Amino acid sequence: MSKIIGVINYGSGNYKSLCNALDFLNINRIEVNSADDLLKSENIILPGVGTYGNCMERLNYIGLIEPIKKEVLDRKKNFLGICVGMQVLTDFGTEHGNHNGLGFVAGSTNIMSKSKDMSIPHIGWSSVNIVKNTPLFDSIENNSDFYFVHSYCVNVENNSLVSSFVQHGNNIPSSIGCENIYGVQFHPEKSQRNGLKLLKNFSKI
Amino acid sequence: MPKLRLIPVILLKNGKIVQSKKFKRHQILGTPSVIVGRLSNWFSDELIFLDISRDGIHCLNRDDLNFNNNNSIIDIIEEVSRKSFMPLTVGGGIKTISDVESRLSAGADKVVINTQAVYKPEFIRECSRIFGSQCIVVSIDARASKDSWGVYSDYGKNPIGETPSEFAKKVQDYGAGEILINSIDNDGAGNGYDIKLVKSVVDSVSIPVIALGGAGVPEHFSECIDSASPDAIAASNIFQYTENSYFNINRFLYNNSFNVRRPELETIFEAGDN
Repeated sequence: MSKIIGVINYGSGNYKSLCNALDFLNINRIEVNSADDLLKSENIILPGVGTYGNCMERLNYIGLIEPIKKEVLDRKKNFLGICVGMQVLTDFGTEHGNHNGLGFVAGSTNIMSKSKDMSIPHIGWSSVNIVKNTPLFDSIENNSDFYFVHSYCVNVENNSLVSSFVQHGNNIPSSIGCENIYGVQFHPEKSQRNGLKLLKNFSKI
Repeated sequence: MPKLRLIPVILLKNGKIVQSKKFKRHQILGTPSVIVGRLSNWFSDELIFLDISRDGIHCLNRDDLNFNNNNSIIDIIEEVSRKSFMPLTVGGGIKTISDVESRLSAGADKVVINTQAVYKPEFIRECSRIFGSQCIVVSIDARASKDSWGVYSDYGKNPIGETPSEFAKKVQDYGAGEILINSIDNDGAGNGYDIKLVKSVVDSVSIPVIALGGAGVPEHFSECIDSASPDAIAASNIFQYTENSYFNINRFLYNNSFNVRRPELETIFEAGDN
């Protein structure tokens, strides 16, 4: 039996897609929308579509911010943040005003710098350059394509926490990792074979 | 730099998949449940579903469903997203925030807004504030006039008195994240894209542009990419007729050194795979 993954449901658009992918992989999952649900989860995924502020507001509204910190920082449960779920790992974000994040990774989330011939939002399939060994990328080839949809990106203070980059105008962190905490800017639940493999990898950590 | 996306567009009318010609003639091709199995085997970059029904009622005609046979676009998205782990974009009749919300929570990643962007551009701003501009696609239906093009609303019926490039710029300012530009004249004709139309829109905005309308042979895709440089290229009919058409067009572009994903026939991922 794989570990029970708690998928935080705060109304994020990709909650269902993520559950579909986990179900397809026969990974045990429960829906998390209370502190009690978090306690029952062995690993935690925070999906995300939408804005930084909205994500934090809704997590706050369902009273999950402190419980998440406790389970992840004290109990060391494995945590995977997807897209905005990765961005809120930073201290704060500047999308539509300043918003505090979970603060698990020192840094901030800001709009990507505009450059010629690079559309923002960054939408589509881009190759991911893996720069650090992480169990998430087990048996995934370097420069594999993943699906991205975002306008903001993380700037982390400690660059050694970045496990992969994607080229979009600049080199942008596409995944970060810090002990039991992982984040991916792309959408594994929408990245076909490579994405499913990554979710499977997370379930085995 | 993201890969250039190659996107099949699936037109739904009253629960059936149809082929469209000049926005008028709609020929039924099959039911979604039949085609979904095929779609999930495609290594497609994305799928766009456009619901062109006028009444919003769908009949999936599935004998194995022994309850209400009238299915909404929501049911269709749910069914597709259970089987295919790729980006799904859904449009047709979206007028309210709750229309957007219901589609996203059923498994869609992006929504396409057309007529409402004409009547109530403020709606685009509201959507992008709530859901993020990255999931708001505005589609523009254009018809050629003397020396330019005009934008039409309500399934190509009403001219709105703006050119596609003007309108694209406007909705970009309102917060649209992508533009889907469709040529009414070339719809279903198979004679190639309206390359100048696509280019006029690509040149006027900084957000990604998806070209649609007119593809009949693989060369039409490469011509449009070469001359108009859209971020994505979409087509409908060509993907419905021949076996492995997606793979073949993908391979054609890949072999001609276009920045597309490597073509693959098999996408089935075994749950037990390591």
